[in-house]
Amino acid sequence: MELGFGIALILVTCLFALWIVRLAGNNVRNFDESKHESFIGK
Amino acid sequence: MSTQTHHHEKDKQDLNKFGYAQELLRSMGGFSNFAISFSIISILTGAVSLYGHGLTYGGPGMMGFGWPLVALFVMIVAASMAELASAIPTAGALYHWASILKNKRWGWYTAWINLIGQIGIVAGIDYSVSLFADPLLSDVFGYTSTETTILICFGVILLTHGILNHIGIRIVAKFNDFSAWYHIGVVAVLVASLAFFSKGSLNSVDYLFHVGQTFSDKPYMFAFLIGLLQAQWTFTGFDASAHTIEETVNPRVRAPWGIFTSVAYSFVFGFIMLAFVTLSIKDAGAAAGSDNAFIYVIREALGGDFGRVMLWLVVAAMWFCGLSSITSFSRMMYAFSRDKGMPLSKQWAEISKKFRTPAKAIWLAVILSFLLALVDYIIKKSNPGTTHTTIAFMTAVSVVGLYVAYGIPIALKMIAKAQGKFQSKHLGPWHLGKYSDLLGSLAIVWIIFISVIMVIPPNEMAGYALAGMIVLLVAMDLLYYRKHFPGPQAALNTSMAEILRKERELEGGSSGGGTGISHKG
Repeated sequence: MELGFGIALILVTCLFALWIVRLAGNNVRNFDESKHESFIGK
Repeated sequence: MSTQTHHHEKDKQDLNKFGYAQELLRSMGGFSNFAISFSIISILTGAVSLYGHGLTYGGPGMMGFGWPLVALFVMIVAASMAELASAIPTAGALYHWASILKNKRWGWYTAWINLIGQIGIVAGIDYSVSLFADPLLSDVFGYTSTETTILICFGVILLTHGILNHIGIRIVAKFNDFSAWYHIGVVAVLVASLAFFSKGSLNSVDYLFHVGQTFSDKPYMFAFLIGLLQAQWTFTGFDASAHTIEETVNPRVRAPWGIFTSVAYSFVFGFIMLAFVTLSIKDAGAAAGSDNAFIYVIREALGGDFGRVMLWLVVAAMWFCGLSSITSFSRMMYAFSRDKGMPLSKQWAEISKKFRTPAKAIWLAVILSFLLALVDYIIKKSNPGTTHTTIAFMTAVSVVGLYVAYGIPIALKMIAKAQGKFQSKHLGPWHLGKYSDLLGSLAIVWIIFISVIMVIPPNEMAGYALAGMIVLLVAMDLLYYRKHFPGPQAALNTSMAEILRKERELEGGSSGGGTGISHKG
């Protein structure tokens, strides 16, 4: 029981990391510099 | 124009938009930016030096459940910070983000809370090195390791880090790059040694996930929460990738990746190491009751000589960690002083013309870290009955200081977004899209939770120290800085002619010569 929960937790953590890598990676590739504006707080 | 030169020009222009000159040498590549955070997280420092803490409170289940649980939430915090680093790429990082997302006073408090955490982390790391190195040195030179010799050892280690950081970012970056591979290599050697040469057989995998066993006098669930300090402290310092952003080429992409991947890789390699160390435990009660549980387990499993060699390797990894942490701390102070947020700001913002490093800020970081350990040493000497450990005190201070400083700009960004001030067009290339608010909210909830957990008994001394520092900050703010702190907004009034003059002045005095561009990949 405890072993199952432990393995599930590790899997969830690994999958989360991979999801963020994929999500951010796609956003970096599709970034459109012409639409960007620096946020300078003014 | 080469891609590298193009990036350098673009990075410089991005920085100039915030009113700052390119004063630091921009020479770090993506791997170096990752390596500095990976070295400060240093699974061979945090997870090892607090291994006894984790085992005592949470038993073996702390490694199986505590480590991945903390890693999951820290990755959420790191992802939210990475998004901000991509949007606002300046060395002030947390403090600068808070300043421009809300106002300069929020920024000022964020900076000081971050600074308190940085003092704690540098002191905690280098004190860990001396906790491990001093007993090993005492074996070699035949003296008795005491709290006094540990403090002296700590001072010497800080000194070595101060000198190397003063000499320059290039040498520190080389050490950081090596350190990242070194950490992975030592973990591999340690794991292989325990897997193949451990005396007797390893425990079954079930043991790693065994909960309900604590060697403290607290109920298990409560003890488990206290034990989370082991993992939570390990996963600190990844803001270094943001603090070295003005020294990184193409930082809007590389710094956020550095922040996030340093945490993710630390989770993976740290888990593998902790799993094998825990599966090698012969007598958990004896290990938890020993002076240093990690040393105890390794020596029991691998024998005296082999164990000693492994411990020297671990000490070297910790030394690399301390080196990187001074880099990060000094850059943060440099950026804050550049905006006149500290007493004697002009001094700490000064860049060495020869080495292009904030030399005075580096030595201030060394002195403040030593003072924290010295104060704790004096308290313990004058109150021999005190029960807290120096390392737990320092680590709890750094966890709360750093995570609160991480949380403030994340929360302020969500507020600014809700008010329509911060919009999609302000995001950098690295962002979380529609999941940004959800992840930001989870990050805030986790930060509040662990900030409370880290200062309850037996770490109440850290809570008192932090409360005292906050009172001091409020007094400083009300008495002086409320009216006299110009904040980073003031830099926006700097003319381009003045920015270029500063850059030309430094380029003329830099030993690197030329534009100061390094072409690291």
